[in-house]
Amino acid sequence: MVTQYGFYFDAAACSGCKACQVACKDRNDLEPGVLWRRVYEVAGGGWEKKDGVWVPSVIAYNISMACNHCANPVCGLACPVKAIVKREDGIVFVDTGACIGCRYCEWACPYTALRFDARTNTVSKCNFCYEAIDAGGTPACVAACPQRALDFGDMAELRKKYGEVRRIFPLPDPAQTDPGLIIKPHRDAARAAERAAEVANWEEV
Amino acid sequence: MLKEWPLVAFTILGQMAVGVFWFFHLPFLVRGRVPLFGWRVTWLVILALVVLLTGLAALVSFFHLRHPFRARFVLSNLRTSWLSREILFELAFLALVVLAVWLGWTRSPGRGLVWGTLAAAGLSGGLFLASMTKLYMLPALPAWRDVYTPLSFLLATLVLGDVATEVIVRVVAGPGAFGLDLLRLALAFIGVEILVAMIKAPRHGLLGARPGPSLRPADGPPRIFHWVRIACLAAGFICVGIEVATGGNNIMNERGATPALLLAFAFVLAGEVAGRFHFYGLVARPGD
Repeated sequence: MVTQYGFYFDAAACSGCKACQVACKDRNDLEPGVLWRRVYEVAGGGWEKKDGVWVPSVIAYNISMACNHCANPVCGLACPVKAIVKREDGIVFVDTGACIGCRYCEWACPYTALRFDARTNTVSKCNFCYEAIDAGGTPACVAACPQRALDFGDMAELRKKYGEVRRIFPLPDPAQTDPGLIIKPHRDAARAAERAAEVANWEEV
Repeated sequence: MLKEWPLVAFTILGQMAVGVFWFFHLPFLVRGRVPLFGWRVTWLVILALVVLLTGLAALVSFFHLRHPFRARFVLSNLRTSWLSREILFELAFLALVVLAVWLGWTRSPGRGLVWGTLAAAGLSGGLFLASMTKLYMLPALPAWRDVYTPLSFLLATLVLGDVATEVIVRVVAGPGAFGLDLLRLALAFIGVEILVAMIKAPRHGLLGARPGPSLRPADGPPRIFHWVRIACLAAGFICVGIEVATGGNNIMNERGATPALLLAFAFVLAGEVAGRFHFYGLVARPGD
């Protein structure tokens, strides 16, 4: 039995096409501006002088990020009305019938997974397509990725398959929430912090 | 940032209420007296204003909820949510101050009962402030998870509580009648708050926290809020200074609340409001 679902994301394979983002919006019928899965474009670098020659040192990679259904969901711990619930299989979802719309969870989540939905006047977030999962299916984002950069499953299985890396620039320290997330870093990720890389598409996320 | 006005009003009003409660009762606590004898009217006015401020704070806080009618369940996560705890301690503070008003009104309460109620109310007020502070010190938000947050909340409580108590006591009981030199204390508190703001205010203070890389847009409050806050506090400092220099708090002076004192209160209140908007502007809500 699955005790903690999680996502795998291959930053080296992601082309930034945003098919995952669109598939999520389509499956969940999200309002314009509400994004449960977002693709961040990390960019930085420029030119550097090596042995008297100027060479490009550009950093550019993408991060596809949704709720990571953390083992220690700080959003749920912060919620004053227990409107954020964790299932036995680790999926964290928002009970919109209980949410008071204080939006405190938006501040608490380091992955900015909680998004305010003006249609229901509550917060909302990725629910791991739990109806599809319960029926033996696949989350929409994973199914839509043409590069196979996304995968999902039990965290124990994902660790065996893909390793233990859970952080690349500019993601937060996983010790904060113990996220259900495994990452294959892009080759540029190690240099991103020292080259002052930053998210280049804030308007889109 | 301006959308957070209900939270600005809630925190400022709540902190002022607790500050007024603490400052008025401090000299009585030190002398081991109850404010029933000789001070009953002033005491009741103070308590009534504390109830009014706390009640107003609670009322205003509903404006930041999108489903206010569901707020009756807000105490259901006391085990882990600092927001639940904040509301619990606010309600406890309010209820205990209301009880103190009733005790003062009945004229013949036992000394132990009055002190017990006042001590419990003072403690609840402190826990209300502590929960309010803890609530914002989230690991995900380095701009708020800083010594500046507790310092600025505490100093706002002390500055507003001190100056507001002086104004109320002057109006109701007359100048110089109180056993604590609130004006000189106010000078010290306002001075410290200006220093703390200049040194530790996130983003704009000399040694304030700067935003690091994260998945949250690096939204910054306009610098103008930082400087308006400092300018208003400085103006309040000068007004209090004038009041001290001209002997406004002298017991021989029958002037009551002078224009300089009222201006000082207006300036420090404006400074705290500007500072609080700056505080909420430090953290963006993605998607807004």
